[in-house]
Amino acid sequence: MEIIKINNLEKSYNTNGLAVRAIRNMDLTIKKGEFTAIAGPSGSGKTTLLNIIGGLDNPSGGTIMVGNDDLSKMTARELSDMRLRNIGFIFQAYNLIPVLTAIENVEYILLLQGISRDERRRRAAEMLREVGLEKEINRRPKELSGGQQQRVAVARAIVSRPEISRRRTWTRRQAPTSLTSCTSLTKKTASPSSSRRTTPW
Amino acid sequence: MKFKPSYIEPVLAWRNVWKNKRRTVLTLLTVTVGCAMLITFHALNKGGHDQMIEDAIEANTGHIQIHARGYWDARSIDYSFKPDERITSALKKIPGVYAFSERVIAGALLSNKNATAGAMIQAVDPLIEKKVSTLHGKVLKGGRYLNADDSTSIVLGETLAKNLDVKTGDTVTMLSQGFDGSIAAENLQVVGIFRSGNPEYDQGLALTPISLAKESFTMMDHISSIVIRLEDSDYTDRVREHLLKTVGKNELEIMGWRELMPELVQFIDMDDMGGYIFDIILFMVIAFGILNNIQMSVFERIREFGVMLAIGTRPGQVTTMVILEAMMIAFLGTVLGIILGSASSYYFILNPLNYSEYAKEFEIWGISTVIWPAKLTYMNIILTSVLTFVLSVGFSVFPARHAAKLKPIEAIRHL
Repeated sequence: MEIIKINNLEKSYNTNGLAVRAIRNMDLTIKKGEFTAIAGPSGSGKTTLLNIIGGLDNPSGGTIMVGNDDLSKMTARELSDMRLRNIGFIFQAYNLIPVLTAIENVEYILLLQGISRDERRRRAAEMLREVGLEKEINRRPKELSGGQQQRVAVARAIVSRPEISRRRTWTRRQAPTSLTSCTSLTKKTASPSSSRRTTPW
Repeated sequence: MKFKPSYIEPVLAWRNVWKNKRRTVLTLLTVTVGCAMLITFHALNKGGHDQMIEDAIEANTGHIQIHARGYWDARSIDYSFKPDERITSALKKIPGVYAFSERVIAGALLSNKNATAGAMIQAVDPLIEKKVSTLHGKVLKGGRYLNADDSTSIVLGETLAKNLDVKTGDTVTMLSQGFDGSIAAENLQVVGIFRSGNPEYDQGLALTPISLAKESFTMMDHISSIVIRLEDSDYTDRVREHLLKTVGKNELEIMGWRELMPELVQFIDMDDMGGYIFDIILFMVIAFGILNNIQMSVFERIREFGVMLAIGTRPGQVTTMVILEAMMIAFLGTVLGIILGSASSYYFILNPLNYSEYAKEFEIWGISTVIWPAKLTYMNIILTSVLTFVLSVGFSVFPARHAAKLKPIEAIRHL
């Protein structure tokens, strides 16, 4: 089943009067459960593409279907709900909510999804254990190291079992061991045998 | 997908409020001190004004006066009336009436040797008058107030006595015109001198027994006014209505203290006006304090909002969270403000402001009140706190909407 289907995608920016065509005539199809990596030199439009797939940016032309939703036809609020349901984000910098503890940060999305308290706790704790942070669950972001924060972000991105987890170059900041563990964790969640999710890399 | 009602916004808001403790404490101080100041100043104003009114009413004016129609404009003995049974029996029956006193009032010349001065003679029944006016308590040492059995006695205002160069025990000559047009002349003995603090009374008021005046002025059972003292100023309108129904408004004028003392009422209105301007300034200080706090905390957290929005928080939830932050600060500040304001008002209830040093300035307005106690009303507390809260929260809507309208990708890149 095709989970992402992009046809004839166009994206141009207008920075200081200079039009930059970041994406030209792009077609892409990703099937459910696929593990996809996107590679290219800087400035080639990787981030732009991921932003558009994530519903954070608008295309200038073309269509993007995520599941059965046509992103170009959705309102801001619908996009917000789509991101919550379908997409797990990990950003380049550590972007956790500073007033929430590690486990609360992971729980946050489950809370927004309306999942019951006990299940939230259980799933968040389990996910933090998988990224090796079972001892740090009650620390706030500023009490965690950069790598630990990033692992919380990974846990947050996949705890909700999103259809697509979208991550950008985060492994660069990881120690080699966690790199392996996070990559395998992501592969595990993406493999058809677990819950069939898609991970564009 | 249906969202269950969640408690996440209040939790986030509460933690955000205490994330930057110093700033929150400063904002709390602004709201608390502002709210407390408003409550205290309102209490002082209300207390001072009520005291002024009470003092003026108690001194000599009374809450309500009944005269013959036209008397108040002319202030002449020609406008006198015969108090009939209907009025006195009604006054005895109306609840809330503390006492009432009949007076004969006439303009007269008072002379001593070469000195002559004009004065208002206010002839009263000494015993009854004591229940209506407090002038009997203002008689200076060495003299006394009128007694029930006095016949040719007079009590003078302090300035009037000075102008006539008389002391207690001296004799003054009174010259005036009677109700029937005849000449009224009498030699009277000064038994006392009063200092009321109200220049109008001190300069021009002289008290004599009503028994003497009825003869001297040939009143033929007529009087100039009935002065009514009530148990509480709030009864004024009710008792006046009652009297108007009983006696009708054709021959008599029945005036409440607001009509009897227009200068005082005007002074209080003017004073209140200045107070309103002060209120507006304070409310603005409070509101901008909150606006500043929320605005700063929103600017600091642009990346954070970007992440929240990107991972699926709805814009409405962000708005709610930011407004809740303002509500929490405003609520805490208002509650602390009520406590502090009530405490400081209570202090001024126990220790009234003493303006004796400015007594001269006050006299220009005809105000003899120099001790201003505070008066704390529920209305004051409710109105002040509700306005503080509503304004503070109202001013946080703009930064809250700003936070919700952020574009996630731009906000995440924001430094």
